Formats: sequence, C-alpha cells, structure tokens
Amino acid sequence: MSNQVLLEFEGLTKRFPGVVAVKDAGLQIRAGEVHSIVGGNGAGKSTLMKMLSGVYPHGTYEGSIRLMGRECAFKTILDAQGQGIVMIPQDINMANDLSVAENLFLGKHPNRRGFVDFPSMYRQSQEIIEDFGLNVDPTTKVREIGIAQKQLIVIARAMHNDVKVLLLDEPTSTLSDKECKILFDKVEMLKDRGIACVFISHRLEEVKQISDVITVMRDGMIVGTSDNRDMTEKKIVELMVGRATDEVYPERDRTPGEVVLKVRHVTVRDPKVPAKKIVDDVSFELRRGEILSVYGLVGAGRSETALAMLGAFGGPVECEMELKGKPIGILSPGDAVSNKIGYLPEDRKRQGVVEISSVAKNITIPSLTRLVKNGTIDARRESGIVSDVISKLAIKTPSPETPVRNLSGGNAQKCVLGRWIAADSEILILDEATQGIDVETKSQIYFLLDALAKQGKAVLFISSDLSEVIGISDRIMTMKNGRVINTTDGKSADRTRILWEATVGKLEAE
Amino acid sequence: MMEGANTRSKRFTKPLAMLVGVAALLFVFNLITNHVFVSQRNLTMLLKQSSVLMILASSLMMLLISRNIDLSGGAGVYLTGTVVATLVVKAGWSIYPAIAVGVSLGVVMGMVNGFFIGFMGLPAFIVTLAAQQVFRGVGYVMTNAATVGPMPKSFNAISEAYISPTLSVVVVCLLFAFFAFINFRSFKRMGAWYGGKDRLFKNLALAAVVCGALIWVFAGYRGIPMAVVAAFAVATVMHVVSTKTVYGRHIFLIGGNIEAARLAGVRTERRIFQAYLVEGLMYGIGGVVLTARLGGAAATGGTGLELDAVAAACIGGTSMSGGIGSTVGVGMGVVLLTMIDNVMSLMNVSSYLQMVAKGIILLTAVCLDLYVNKAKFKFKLVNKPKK
Repeated sequence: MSNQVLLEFEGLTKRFPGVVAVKDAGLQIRAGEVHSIVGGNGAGKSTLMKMLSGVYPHGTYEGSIRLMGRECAFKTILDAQGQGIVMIPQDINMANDLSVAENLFLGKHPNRRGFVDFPSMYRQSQEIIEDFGLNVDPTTKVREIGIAQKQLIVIARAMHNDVKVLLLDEPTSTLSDKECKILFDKVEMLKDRGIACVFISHRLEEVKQISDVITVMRDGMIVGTSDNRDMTEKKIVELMVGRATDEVYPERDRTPGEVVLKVRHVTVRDPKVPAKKIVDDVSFELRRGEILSVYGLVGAGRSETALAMLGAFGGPVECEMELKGKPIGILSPGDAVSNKIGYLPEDRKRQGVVEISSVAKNITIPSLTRLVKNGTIDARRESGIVSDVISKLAIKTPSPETPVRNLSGGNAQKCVLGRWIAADSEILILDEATQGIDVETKSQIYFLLDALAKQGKAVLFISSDLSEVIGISDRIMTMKNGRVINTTDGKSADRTRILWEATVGKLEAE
Repeated sequence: MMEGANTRSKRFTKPLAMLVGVAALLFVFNLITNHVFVSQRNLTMLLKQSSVLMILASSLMMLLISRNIDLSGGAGVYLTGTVVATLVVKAGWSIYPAIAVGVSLGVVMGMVNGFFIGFMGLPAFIVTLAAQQVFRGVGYVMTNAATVGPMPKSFNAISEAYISPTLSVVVVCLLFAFFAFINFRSFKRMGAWYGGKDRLFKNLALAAVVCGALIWVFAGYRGIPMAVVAAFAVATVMHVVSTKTVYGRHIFLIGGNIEAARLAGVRTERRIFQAYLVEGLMYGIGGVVLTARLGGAAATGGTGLELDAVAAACIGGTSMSGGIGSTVGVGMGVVLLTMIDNVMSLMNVSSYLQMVAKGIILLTAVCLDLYVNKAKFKFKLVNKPKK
C-alpha cells in the first residue's frame, strides 16, 4: 500500500437514454498493483473502462479522472494512450495480413524518405519482443499466431509506448488454461516494472489468484473494494448478488409434463482455436410446460449451446437430440422450424429482426409456407394471424405495415417472440429475451411465457439476469466455462448459490 | 386531424407531380426531336426496344434485392440466342425444339452461377464476372464471332409480329378491367391493410391514364408488338412472384437482414440459388426475343445489357444495399433509359456521347434516391452500437 497512487477517479457517472450505466464511481489505483473489478453482466465494468480509456470522450460523462495528480480530459483513445492509459479490449483488432513488426509500429513505421525502413523496424521489434520475454519472429504474419500471443503483442506495444495503466477487459475469456498462465506471468512482470493493471473478469478463481485489490460492481455502482486477503470468494459473491428486484413475476403454478426434448453431449469448439471447447459436453432434458433457465455469465457457452442445437453455429459442432423420443438431426434453423423449434437470438438488431421490413412480415417469416394458397401467400389469412399476434402480445405499432425499425426495442422483441407464437412452435429457445427492454414489457414477456408454458410449450430461457431467472423458472441450469455446473429447482433457488456456481463453480459441501 | 389531412393531400400530390413531370418530359423530348418522339410509331418502337432489357431487369431486380448481382446477363442472353440461332439456321432444327433447348440452357447457366454463389458462398461479383467471360467466349468459339442468320420469318414473328390494332384496344381494356377488379377485391378483402379509398382512386386513376396512352399508341400504329407482349408477361409474372409468393418474400427478407432471415428458418442458400435459376430462365427468354428482334444472333448481341439492367433497376428505386425494389419501378427505369437512348438517337447524338449522358443520368438517379431516402440513411449513421 506504500505505492504511489497512479490513477484516481471520482464521481464518474455515465448515462444512456433510459439507464444510468455507471453511477458515481470512484477508486484509487496504485503503481505496481493488479486491481480486479468483478461484477455480473451489465454491472457497468466495461462502461467504466471505456470512460477511463477515452472511448467515451470527456464531456459525455460526469466526474473527474486524475492520472498522477493531473486532471485528464481524453477526447480520443489515442489521447489516453498518449498519456499512458491503454485498454486491451476483449476482441483485439490487428491487421491480420501484416507482420508482427508492422503491427507493433502501426501508424508510426520508421521510415526513410517515405519508404518504410524495414531493417530498422525488424531490429526494434526484435528488441521489444525479447524485452517482454516473448518468442515470436517479427516477420510472422499476425494471422498465423494465436489470440494469446496477439494479446501479449498488444501489451508489449503498450509497454514500448511507456504505458502506466493497463486496462484488461476480460482478457481470459478467449484463452485456454495454459495461455492464461502465460498471460498471468506477464502481468507479474508488469507489476515489477511499476505498471498498474486493471483486470476485469468474473472468474473468481483467477481474480483471487492474481489480484492485489478487488473491487465489486453491481448495477453500475461500486459496492465494495478491499485488499485481496480481506475479500473472500464468499464475500465477493454476496456483494455481487444484491437484493431481489421488485419486478412482478407470474405465480408459478405450472406442472411440467413429459420430456419433449433430450439434448446430449453438445460440444462446440472455437473455430479458430480447435483445442478450446466453448461448450463441453452439455446434456439436458426439456419438459413440456416448463421454463428451464440457463444461467451463466459471458463466455459460459450458453448462446453457443443454443446455436449448436439449431445447426446455426459457424463451425463444426457435436450435438445429439431426441424430440419426443425420436432422434432428430438439425442442420440449419430451417430444419428447426420444421420441427417446431423457435429461436429468439441474443442480438435483436443483428440476428432478430429484419428492420426495414414491416411488423407483419417479421411476424410471419416461419409461418409463410402454411399460408400458401394457389401458389401465393393468402393475404387475408396472413393479416388475420398478424392481427392476432399484435393484439395477443400488445405490440404497440401504428400499423402492421410499419417497418420494425420504427418500433421501440421492447416492441421489436415482441415481434420476434410473436413470430414463434404465430408459427405455433412447441419448443422456444430464448436467448436474453429481455435484454435492453423496459420494465413493463419485461413483465409482459414473463407472463406471456408463463401462459405459453401452461399451454404445454417448452421454454429454454437463456439469461444472465439473476432476478428473472429466479423469478420465472421451473428449473435453473447454471453454466460456467462451457460446462453445466448444476441444475436446481426454480422455486427453492438461492441467489447466492446460483451466482456462486456461475462464478466459482460447484459448491463442494453443503 | 390536421396531420391526417396533410398526408392525404400528399398521397395525391406525389403521383400527380409524377404525372406532370412525365408529361413535361415528353413535351420537351418532342420539341427537341422535331415532333418525332411522341408519334405512335416511335413510341411503339421504343417499347419494342425496351423489351429485352425489361425481361432481364425484372429478374435482376430480385438478385439486387437479395444483395447479389449478375454481370453475366448480357453474355447469357447472347449465348442462348446464339445457340437457338445455330440450331435453327445451321442444324436445321424446327423452331420450338430449338427454343426449348435455348431456354433450358439458360436455366442451366443460371444454376451454375447459383451453385457457386448460393451454395459455395463465393462472391457474386466475381462468379458472374467469370461467367460473363465464359458465356461470351463459348458463343464466339461456336460461331467464330460471326453473325448467325437469317432466322426464318416464323421465328422473327416472336418479336416482330403485331396484335391487330382493334384487338390491341380490346386487350388493353381487358387488362384495365382486370386490374380494377383485383384492386376492388383487395380493397374489400384487406380492409385497413389495403390503404383506404385514397389508394384505390390513385391506382385506378394511374392505370386509366397509362391504359389510355397505350390505346392511343397501339391503335394509331400497328397494334401491340409481340416483343412487348413477352416483356409484359415476364414483368407481370415477376411482379406476382416478388410480391405474393413465399420465395419473393424470402428474397426481400434475405436482402433486409440475411442473418435474421436465416435464424428465422429461411433457407438462404437455396433461395439465392433459385434467384439465379430464375435469372438463367431470363437469359433463355431474353435470348430468344433478342434473336427474333434482330433476325439473327450477332456477336455484339446483348453487349452492355447487364449494366443497363442494373442501371434501370437502380433508377427504378431498387436498393443496392438490398431489401427494397419493385417491378413497377424497374419498368419505369427501363422505359426511361430506353427513352433517353431513343431521343438521343433521333437527335443524331453520337453513341459515344450517349454513353456519357446515360452515366450521368444513372448517377443523378442514385443521388436523388439517396436524397429522398435521407431519413433512412441518417438512421444508419446514427445507429451506432451501444455499450
């Protein structure tokens, strides 16, 4: 604790339309320390990092940032880098077809009369790489090296540029265990050189392993900060959990029926790093009339499991499925639709809605083949189905012909959900169905799912919102690092225990 | 209430302004061509000239809507036309088997493009660029780049024969009646979805003006040329396909957001393959009509047709970023483009200068389109990823 304070901020607040992402955050970060920031999804960690690193320019947030006692007003990322704050983002952007050396000097290649001075660039690169203890040929194309090495090269570049504070945003989420160890060794080296590292993660074991100080965030606020030895895993989880929200959930008086879908041995490998399993041997059963939640944090492999089931993952997967006792092979979402399986994707804008098309056209996509009469779409039946869905889901739209891009997020999401209700899907796979939606619509969706389950539909509800998972599920399956940790009864579920499973792992002894 | 009245008046002013614009354009064209342009004979020729372009552009529109392109259209039309001509002139086949082979060949050519683009996922630009070279090359190898002809009169009749003026008037009147019937029926059945009485009046008024003009043109010269019949039939079918079938709907959804369409169960690869298959069918039909119109297959046949088709579709409001387009718009684009050609030829403008003018018109049309759809453009820019 004797080290000098490098970075200090107070009163940092960042507002987005409708939400306060970070509220009055203040911390001190000292030279040569690893300061971990932990918190669930949407706790505001990444937003905080973006303020510190100039992604959100000065003036778009409230509060002050001081680097070595001097007030900072970063306008751009380059501004922040120039003064010694560098963020290593989750997915690193490098020019893949250029060499390591060219990437190290990106934007400021040593040159002689306008021509790149390759000999000097390679020599200097060699020095930087060796200085950081890496073993890479500077002429190698970046495409040919792994993600871990890319990260290290970006860190080496930062060090060469005299970095003072290094912000690492979930650097381990894409790494294998062995690569993590290499990264942590390098972080130790950075500490010795007096560089402060801010480390974001929600894997508590690695946080405990490398941190000097641990800060916990929840709902955009810093709820606790102290030395690693005073911050037990139990205390961290308790701080992360918080209170239950006062949202209204439907009464759970459903009685799940027989098993409709058996999913066995889902394994998904990272298409770029075949050794890394994003999903590792996941098996579960889904019953008629139940809501089965899949809870986990970023990188737990929940969405990838869903995509693998639909034949929509961009790479080879292993997945065995049985629908009502019969083995089925689903090679594309089209096959899933024929088997009455509907999917609501995680990213509504990119994967969910066709924004330039109308509400009606978005709703009827999977039902069109049923509506054909004499080779053409029966407009009358189509409008009937659409009006039905619009009134049943209370979609607020001026007309069925309004393009979806004119609708609010919640109403657009209802169009995607309504699509599967119109198609009369028996199995609904919903990935973060309530993300970025107002409270009222959220509640409507909960009641709708309850009604659907009572009609005998099976709902697989993927979410990283602990409150809603506890609020609506019949069973809760927790995932971490691509594996199923536990499956528990929804009504008697304990918040702390669920979060513990998603961040630390299985509770060893009762 | 005020707002309602406002949009209502807007609904009428827009087509009215369009009509006035077209009338003004025709007047100007007529003036600068010494009153030749708005003659019944010239307008008949103009429609006949535009028929092959219309055939190709109406299916190219579907490709553009799905965010694909076809650069092999002109060469495709040339090759099928040449094969038909060779079979008839050199091999002595009778007309119908030759046409059947030509059209089937077109379909196969389209399927080859569709296989590489749809199923293999190769970029459409490159695949169809290669196909353009191959198609034209095969034709030249077959014919030594010589013109194959002359075709028998009975073959040329496919394009050059006329429906008699009296019958033409009856046909146009029947078409108008059919259009009116369809509109009344949708108006009754669809209720609020149709767009109210305003839309009904607007549609009927426009149709009446167009049909009136057509009657004047056809009755005053020799009637409806068969080439125009073929083009109109193809355009009508494509209009129904694009607006009323599952296939058409899927193409629009793919252009709007291919990922969302795929995850909602649209078999995107198959749909894109089918779009190229239809395009291939149009190589066949276009090739037959072109050969019939010229009375033989010339080595330069169909040159630049693929780009004219893109230009026509674009002028007609088809979005190059996919998801938007209509056959009616494409038809207007085709007629406008042919008109410009026609007027400049009548004015004895050199064909080189005509190219310059066409380029400028295309650019202007796209700029206008961007200006009109400014709101959408702005939306795209503002729509930055959050978080």
